[in-house]
Amino acid sequence: MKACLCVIMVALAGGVGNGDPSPTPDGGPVDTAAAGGVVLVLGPQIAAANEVVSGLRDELADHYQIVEHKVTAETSVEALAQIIREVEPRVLVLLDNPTVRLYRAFQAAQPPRSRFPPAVVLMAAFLEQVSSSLENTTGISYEVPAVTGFVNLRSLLGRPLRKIGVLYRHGFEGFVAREGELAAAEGFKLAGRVLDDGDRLKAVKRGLRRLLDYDHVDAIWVLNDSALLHPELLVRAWLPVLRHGHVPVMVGVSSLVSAKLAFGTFAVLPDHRALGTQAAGLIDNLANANWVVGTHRPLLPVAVEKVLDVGMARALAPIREEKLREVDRLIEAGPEEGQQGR
Amino acid sequence: MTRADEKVARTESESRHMGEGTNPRRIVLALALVVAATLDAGSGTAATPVLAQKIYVYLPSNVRPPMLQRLLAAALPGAEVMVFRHLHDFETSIEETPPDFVISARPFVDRYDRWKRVLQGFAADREEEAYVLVSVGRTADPADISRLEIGVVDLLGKKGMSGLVARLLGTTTLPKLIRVGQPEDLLPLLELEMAGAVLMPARSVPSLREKSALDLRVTELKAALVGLPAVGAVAGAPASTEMVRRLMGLPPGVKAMLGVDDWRRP
Repeated sequence: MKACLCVIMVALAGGVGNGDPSPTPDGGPVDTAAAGGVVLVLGPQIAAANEVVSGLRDELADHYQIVEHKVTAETSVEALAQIIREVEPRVLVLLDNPTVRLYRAFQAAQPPRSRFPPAVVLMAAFLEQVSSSLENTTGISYEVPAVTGFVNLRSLLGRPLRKIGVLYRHGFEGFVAREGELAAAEGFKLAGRVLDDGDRLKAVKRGLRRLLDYDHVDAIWVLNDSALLHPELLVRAWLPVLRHGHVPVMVGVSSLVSAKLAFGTFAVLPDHRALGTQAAGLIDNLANANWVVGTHRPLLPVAVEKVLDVGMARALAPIREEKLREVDRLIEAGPEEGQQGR
Repeated sequence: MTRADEKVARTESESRHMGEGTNPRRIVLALALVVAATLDAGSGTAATPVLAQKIYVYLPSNVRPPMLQRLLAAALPGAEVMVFRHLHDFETSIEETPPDFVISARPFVDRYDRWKRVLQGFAADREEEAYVLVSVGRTADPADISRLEIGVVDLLGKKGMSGLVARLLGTTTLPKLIRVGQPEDLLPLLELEMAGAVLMPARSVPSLREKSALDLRVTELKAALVGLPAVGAVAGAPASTEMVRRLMGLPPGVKAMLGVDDWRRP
């Protein structure tokens, strides 16, 4: 049990971008000669964020100057205000939830009727909720639409995939309903079970058993909800029930697809470089709209990376072997498996 | 380390990741052995490495670049093959460490004077393929095309794709383009209603229909033809006839991954 818990803690830590807490801004000199102005990127300096910035540069570097400043949860509102004053950005790109919280505090600290440059939020979990109170702000959701994952899983499996079960907490009803609508267009039925109140561990077990035994789902989709994925719940609730479920499990964190863990069968993750490219398109749209967000609703990510635990998948269903060449990362038990995390 | 070096490192790293302990790796290795054996048996000269020949490949497809790179490298011993996932990295690497050959979409090879086309891909005995519009629920109305958002796989970058799409659609009023990096990214544009239609090769429609349950409708376009992949060599320099011959002799399965049935000299 201890060893399993250790694997899970490492897996969860690997799934979330944890930036260095040092708050040192390092943007360098600003060349305002760039025709389009400055795109100010704020966020952690981690591999995923660097990929996003690469995608932005690919598309925007000819017309804009891209200036990066590292910020973290420890960065003060005053420090952020100083950066924005110095850089005078045409548009802001905010990477991750702590950066969005910091920017919200910055907006709140400004005088009434202040005008803000447009901001594009990326890599933030549950974007619509976190950005709804921000002015002149849009972005791209960090959650890959479930339908994208379902379609890819269906194309890999040699058996039908129609009904997919999902377990969620109160407060996620709207999110799950929207995902269900998108999935329905591709012929999937989303069977959702809201967690009972009370003991979380028992509620997860009960909910999963209902999905498997009463709803007879063909697969389980696991939300990226940290409240449902902490190590104890994984070890004592998810794993014991799913071990007997004999259905594929789709997750949104690559480290949860691990032969050692034997939890997720398939993961679909945002392609961070492509996320940057998509954000560049959004910035182009904002430029055409005189830098007013207006009705530009947040977008959904399009490009994904796919991870498959081949051994688990083969044990659950026939696999269309020719489709494996379309998967970014194939995982099977082996001495180096632990090095394959994102 | 230059950006190109980083991409090489990344590609190599990805290649390692792809294969570790997987059955597909064994399949690839087995295939590579078959390829090598076929070349040995067929030509008698394939075992002689062609040294210092660098080949860059950018051909967006659903096959992951590390897989294609391994197959090509196995079939072309001695050559340095790099398959790129991102157009920007492909172009940057061409500038920083120029290759001897590029394999890419014909419009890319034709676009630059620095490349002389030495091989042209053919499929179903044709060197061009028709592009069509695919939409959901109803066919695209040509009169409305300029008002649609159109998804398309990026072969040439922003400016280049604008010109290419305008020619394919036969319009001077270009619709808003959503460029994506690989063919599989077109389907989410339709599923999520982010594009009114996607522009794609007609021959790829069956695989899209196989994957999706959407009510996909096809709108054929007049004279919307795009050249199939081509091999370009540095213009003005003598292309290695040995490498050209080897590329022509690639196994059918590898050629299919490159989107061609065979190569012919133009």
